[in-house]
Amino acid sequence: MFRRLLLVSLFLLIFGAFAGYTQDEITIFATVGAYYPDEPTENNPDPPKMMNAIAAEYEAANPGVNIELVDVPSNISGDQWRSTVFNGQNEPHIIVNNFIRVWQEQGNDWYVPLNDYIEMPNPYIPEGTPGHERWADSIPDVVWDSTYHTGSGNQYVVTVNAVAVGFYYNIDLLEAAGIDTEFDIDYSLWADWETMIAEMGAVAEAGYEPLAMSMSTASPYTYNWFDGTSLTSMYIDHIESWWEPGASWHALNQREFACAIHNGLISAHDDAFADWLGLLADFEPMWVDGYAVMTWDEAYRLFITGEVPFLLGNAASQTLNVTRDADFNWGISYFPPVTETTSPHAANNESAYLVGGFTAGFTVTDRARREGVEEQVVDFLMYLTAQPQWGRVVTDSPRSIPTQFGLDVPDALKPTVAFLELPIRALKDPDPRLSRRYGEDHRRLMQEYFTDQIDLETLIAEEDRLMSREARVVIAENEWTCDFQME
Amino acid sequence: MWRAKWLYLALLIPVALLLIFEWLPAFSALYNSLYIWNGGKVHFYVGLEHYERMLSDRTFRVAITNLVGFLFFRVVMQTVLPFFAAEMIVNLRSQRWSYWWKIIFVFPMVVPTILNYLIWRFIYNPQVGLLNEGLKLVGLGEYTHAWLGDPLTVMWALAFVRFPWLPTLQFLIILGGLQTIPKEVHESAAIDGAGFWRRLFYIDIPMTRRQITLAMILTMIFMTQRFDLFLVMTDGGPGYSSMVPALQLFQSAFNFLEFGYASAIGVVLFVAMLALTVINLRVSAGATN
Repeated sequence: MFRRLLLVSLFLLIFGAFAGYTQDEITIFATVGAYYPDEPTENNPDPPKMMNAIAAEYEAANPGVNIELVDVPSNISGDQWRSTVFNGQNEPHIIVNNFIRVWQEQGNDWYVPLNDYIEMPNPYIPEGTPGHERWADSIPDVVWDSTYHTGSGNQYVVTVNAVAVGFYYNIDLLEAAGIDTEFDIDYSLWADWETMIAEMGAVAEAGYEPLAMSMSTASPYTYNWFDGTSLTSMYIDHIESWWEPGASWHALNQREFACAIHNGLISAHDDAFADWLGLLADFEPMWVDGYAVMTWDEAYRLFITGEVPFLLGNAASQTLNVTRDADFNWGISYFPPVTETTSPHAANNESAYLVGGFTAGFTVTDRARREGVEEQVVDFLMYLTAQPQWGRVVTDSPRSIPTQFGLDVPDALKPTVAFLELPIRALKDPDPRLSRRYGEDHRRLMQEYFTDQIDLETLIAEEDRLMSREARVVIAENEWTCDFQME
Repeated sequence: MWRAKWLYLALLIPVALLLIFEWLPAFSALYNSLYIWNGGKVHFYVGLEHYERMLSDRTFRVAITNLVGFLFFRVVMQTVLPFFAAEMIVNLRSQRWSYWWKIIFVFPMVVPTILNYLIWRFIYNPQVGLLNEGLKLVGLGEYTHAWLGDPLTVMWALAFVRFPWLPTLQFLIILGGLQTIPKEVHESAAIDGAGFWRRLFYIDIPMTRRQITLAMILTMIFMTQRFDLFLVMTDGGPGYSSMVPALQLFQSAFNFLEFGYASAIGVVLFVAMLALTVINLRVSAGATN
């Protein structure tokens, strides 16, 4: 009897100690986007590595806390990956995500509002540096304003990256073809949209397909960029009337755009809309053959092998790649402004608009709340995004321009700083303008138009039907009202 | 006797696993097709709304049209060509050569499908692809083309992927059928003066009708379920010109989080496949009788 009691007591002691130990152990899973410390490969000989060091430092300072960096699989889209991990309740505690995606998904309660946390001091930011007293002060207001979700009144994203896009150009190839490579304006080779089309036309006459870009619905980024920025230019005289009251120039949220459609302030039957379609149709012959199904990588290879003189790409990661791979002289330019030479609707338009900007940031997911480790997760996020840490991450691998005060722009990305000073485009990519369904169907409609499967009349009718339907759906799903808009 | 009882009991395990992992998810699609479900918290009953939507869904109509053409082409090719390959191998006199030819025909089975698609993407690449370069090489440069980027050529280009259409499974099924025909039948036919074609149409095809039917049904099912080809090669573009229902199902679920609508598409595909299979079996049985 005594031996049995002894055995049971011993068992309980061991089990209790083990249970106590495991309860104190916390593992924080985090995605870190482009900074994931991958193994070197032939195509990526110098991958980022600093995140491992930062995770190890944090673990050393916080016994019992493990940091597990998670790589998002490259063979499925971010949307598919998120819907899988969230629905399986297996999402990492911290996810790098585009703030627009977070807006679209916030109805699922997938993300923790960070409003209170960003008001707190960040102990990992040195005294005297912005953000030490109040975490939010480490990042300029313009970043917070851009990523703030007006619909819910919540801030879900801490954005420490800024990126632009740009036209990479092969100087050797253009000069050999007799094409001017001097900038017409501060940020662009071309003074206006028409000049761009004319010069790319001259490139085509010299025997080249001018622009490597992708309009594949699987990787639609490149097309989306000029879709949104040129549409902004066409509606420059109207956009202010679409804003929610008291707003200043900003990227419209879904509610503002959906309500603009609902209230008849924008329609595919508008003259400005028709001019915009004309602008895109004039540009389309400059795109490489097969753009509709071309991937980003394929477009890049065409540029880097000297087949095509222009490439539209991400002005951060692509700059690193071009610097590494190009064996020719190259430069980077930005979109020209759309002016009245293109359309009377753009007569008051003075600028091109920034594509990108403060797009990707850190979010804390519902898993942190479910597991009761929200504060520990936010603490790690504070550590990671504090200037001493983030500065090392960006210096190690300059994949974006850091947004925090006190950090330098990496040398490789300095040519793109001028692009970041442009006003943000009011009308973003088709997906975040309204819905994913709209983005996908809109791109497919445009492809049908560009490949002569439908005529202009059908395109306008279909686009109008699509815009109306998706605006109705988005407004109904979110139970929004649209009485704030006045023409 | 006890061994037989144990066998029945032992069989319960795989049956239970099959029910949990195969039947349950499949039948849950029927249930989910009656709901709006975003894969998360939004989940409410809408009855047959998704099925009504399908009737007026332009994308679904185009997808079905594309699939029908694609299926017809691939079912014919993936039955006729494996049949002729198997027929030739069966008629080889040397057993050793017959063995090696079988190995050669079966070998593609071990090549990962995705690799195959990537190779074909490269073949069709408009700027540096093998097809266009080959055309230029033989002086047919004016016929170079963005094969996947043109709505007029994209479905043909996709149909030619994995040319010369000798799928291993179908080949082995038909080969197995041909090998079961007794030699005496062929010898009698030869004595009666039947040549190759007469033997083919009056002996080999009728006597392997079941295997041919099975090969056709399998091709139909595989091709209807296939969305990876379309996803990797074109993602259904340009426009909707290479959209198929399986890809639309995938996109509805994972791009737009419309799991209810995706389930409804799945149910319709299942019913269509079932109906086609039954018709095929009936026709085949009728012809055999």
